[in-house]
Amino acid sequence: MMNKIINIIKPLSLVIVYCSALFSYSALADIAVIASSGSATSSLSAKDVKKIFLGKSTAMTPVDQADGSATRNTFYEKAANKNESQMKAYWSKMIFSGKATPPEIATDDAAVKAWVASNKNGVGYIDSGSVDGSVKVLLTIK
Amino acid sequence: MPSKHNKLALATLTTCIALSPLSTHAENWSDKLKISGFASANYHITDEPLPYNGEAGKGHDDQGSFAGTRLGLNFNAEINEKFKFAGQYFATKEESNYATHVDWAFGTLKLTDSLNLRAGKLKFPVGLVNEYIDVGYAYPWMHAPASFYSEAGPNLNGPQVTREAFSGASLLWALELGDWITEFDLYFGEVNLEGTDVRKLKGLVVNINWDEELFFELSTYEGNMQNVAVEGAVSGGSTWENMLFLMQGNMERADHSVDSFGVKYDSNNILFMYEYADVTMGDIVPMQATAWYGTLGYQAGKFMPHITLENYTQGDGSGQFDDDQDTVTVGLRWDYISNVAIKFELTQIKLNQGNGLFGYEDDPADNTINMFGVGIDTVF
Repeated sequence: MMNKIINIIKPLSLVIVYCSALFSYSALADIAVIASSGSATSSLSAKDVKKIFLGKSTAMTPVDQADGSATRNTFYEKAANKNESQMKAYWSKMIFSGKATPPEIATDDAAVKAWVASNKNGVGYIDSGSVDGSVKVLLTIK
Repeated sequence: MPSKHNKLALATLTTCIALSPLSTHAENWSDKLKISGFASANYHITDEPLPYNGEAGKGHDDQGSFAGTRLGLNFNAEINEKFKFAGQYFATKEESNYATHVDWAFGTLKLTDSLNLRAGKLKFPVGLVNEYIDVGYAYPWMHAPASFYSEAGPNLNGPQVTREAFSGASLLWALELGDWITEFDLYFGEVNLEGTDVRKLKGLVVNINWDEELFFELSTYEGNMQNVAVEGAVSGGSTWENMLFLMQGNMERADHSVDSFGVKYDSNNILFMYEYADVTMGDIVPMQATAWYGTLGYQAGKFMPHITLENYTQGDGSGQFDDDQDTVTVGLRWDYISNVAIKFELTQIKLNQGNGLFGYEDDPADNTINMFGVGIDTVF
């Protein structure tokens, strides 16, 4: 048993030698996670938002912004700690393993507001500057 | 003729469909059905005439090869809130033509919010990337590390850690504790391979996921080898054919088992992956194997440089039929435009003992073999 554990750890230690802690940071705009003003949900935690938009929770129905948009990229960098490429790779593995399908897409902030207004259990995200009385803010991601 | 397990899988799938509320109307199908696709075009060239990781026409050699070039179409149908169906049609380059087949197709019935029953032809759940192994866009390499995810055929070396797909059923249970989600995948069924079947297949995979950033996978499975094709002995001593004959003869009804462990960290622009597997084939000591690999990559804007170390060891230590192969790959993934990645790789394969993934039949000219690869991956 001890030999087996050593056999597992030995190559792992070889690989870990190559590790270095490199992190990046960039200043990005605030994002508002929104629902319809009549939504039964009053707030969401950052963890809830991450699970919903990564297809790990069916508590609410998410809508995404257009592929490649600045708001979308900022949202996923802040909410899921993943950049555009990492998110595409993530959805590739979910779709092509048959486990989940990505959210519907609304083209911009106005389209997201219109979409959540017509979807009772819907949730979306917009630039915080686009928030108005037609929607309820469930979480602001700074 | 369908086997008992295929019938069982079909029966389970039929039950899933029968139990699902049929509230879908025909006019909603365009909303319910989503079609996606992926494609990879790969080119590899080595400095060794013998093909690596596949037979002639499928492996990579010094003549250059587009083996591994592939295309897939994926269908996801949300029939209703309780039932969905997904399938994948797949084409891959084999010798001069492309072989096509239904890669997998299964139905998922949501029993509760945390419990799902899947049935049909399912991707084999062993290995961190095996369920999407053909989708090059989803990982940094041109193809998954061969020491662990060997593509070798029945007459070639390879640890045989994981398989393409199995026919059967799977019960998925997700347990959420704080930021940790643990998924248990209990499955059973059978695998039909070229020249052999794996029957009475049963396994358990435990995936532990912290906040979609840190993953651990523990897996164990066992299957019984049946209908093993025996090539026939060759006179003249211990040739690879005679070795194969002896091993194939002993494989019939042998229990094939694999225990594996994997860890993955994917966040803050860092990708780290490590997997280890221990393989046994009944009491056939020459077929006992271990395999591992570790990958470290760093996402710098559109570029991800990465390095992968691999080892594959097989045999009884006598030296007669042992294999011990080390591999180092340095690669670069370049997200050229949206949904398209270009990849470059340099690989050095070092044969410490035996022929590694070059097969039994002939010996490579040198113990150190170099390989260069370039590829393009897309999803659509």
